[in-house]
Amino acid sequence: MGSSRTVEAHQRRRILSAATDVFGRQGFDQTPIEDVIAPAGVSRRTFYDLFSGKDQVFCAAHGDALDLLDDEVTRACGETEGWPNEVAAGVGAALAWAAAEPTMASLLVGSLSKAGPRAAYCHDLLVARFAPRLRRGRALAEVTLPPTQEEMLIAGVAGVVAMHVDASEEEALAPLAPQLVELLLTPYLGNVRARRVAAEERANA
Amino acid sequence: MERLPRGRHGLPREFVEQNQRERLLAALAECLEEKGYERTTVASIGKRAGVSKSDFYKQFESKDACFVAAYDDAVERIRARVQEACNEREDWGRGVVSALDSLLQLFEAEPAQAQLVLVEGLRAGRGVYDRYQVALQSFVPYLRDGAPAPAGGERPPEATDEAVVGGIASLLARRVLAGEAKKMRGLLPDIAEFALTPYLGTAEARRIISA
Repeated sequence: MGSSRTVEAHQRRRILSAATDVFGRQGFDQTPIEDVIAPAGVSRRTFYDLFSGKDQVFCAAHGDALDLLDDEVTRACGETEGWPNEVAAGVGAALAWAAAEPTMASLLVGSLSKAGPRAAYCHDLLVARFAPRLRRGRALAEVTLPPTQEEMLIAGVAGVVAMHVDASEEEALAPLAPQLVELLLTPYLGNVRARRVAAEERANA
Repeated sequence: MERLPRGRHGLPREFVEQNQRERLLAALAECLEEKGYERTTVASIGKRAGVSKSDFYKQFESKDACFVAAYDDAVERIRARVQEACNEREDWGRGVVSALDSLLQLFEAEPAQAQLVLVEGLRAGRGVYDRYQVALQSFVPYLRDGAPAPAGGERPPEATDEAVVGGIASLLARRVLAGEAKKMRGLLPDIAEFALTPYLGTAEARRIISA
């Protein structure tokens, strides 16, 4: 019983790893499920024992990528103090992760995976995961910000990252950090303070 | 779009074809809003437009081709609106607010068009998604040109312009999906503040928006 569960967990991991790779490279729409099953080295039957279909395996792979990104951001935030520095550290870590894991980054924000019926769902998960972190900055703001602030900021940053991920310009990601940090901090801290934190980020880079 | 009288009407062929084309494009957008891309068929577009299947195929070789034409057409109409608002601008900030306002008015008045450009562009597959991206990028210069620097600072970095356009498009798309296209103008203060703050600071952004 124990060993069959181990086998199952192993098969599941292989399928998710293949799914990340294939969806990240060729997208949701253009991927027949056979393209996930074959490289995973499992039978069709095993696949359908573990997943209901393409939609579910895509969501699982997407969720795993989101968890990994979240782990990186959490780790980086834990190494510094104060909300503005945490934002800077989080952005730096997220961009470094995207550059190191372009296929997973593509699965999260890239056009190939965004196109398709799951586009809105994936986008919502991304916003839901990171908006609360950003929202903490409201405690530092001198003004009451619009309720939609975090949603637009995260979508805007994801869009800029997506452009470079789609163009396979991984090397262009890290240099974006100061720009994106300034954008994210400005509504909360004002232009001058936001720019100061971004400049420190630039100096550290 | 009015249908033309049936039978002999003596109208020039070009006029008839142009009229059919416009009706088909409008019908496609309405079908998409009603049932989404997958379930929209050439037959359903033709039926709604009052255009026969054979006349449909004189205009477009497929549903995809009709979709792309409708998409480009809608983006062009939006661009014309934005361009017009920008041309009338007394200054950069007021121009941006007025361009956003006219955009929201257009989407509110024609929710099917809002659905077409903001939502179906993401859902219809890779080819159209690329068009969506190109269209989105083509709005960046309207924001970038003439954008000022906040008091005592430098102009925000370039990624800001792209992120502002992308962030707004995404928010509007979410609202369309939530069935709130008809309440879009209520978002004007939020999105205008989002657009202006990086360049002017919150206080100045709010002063312009409330003026």
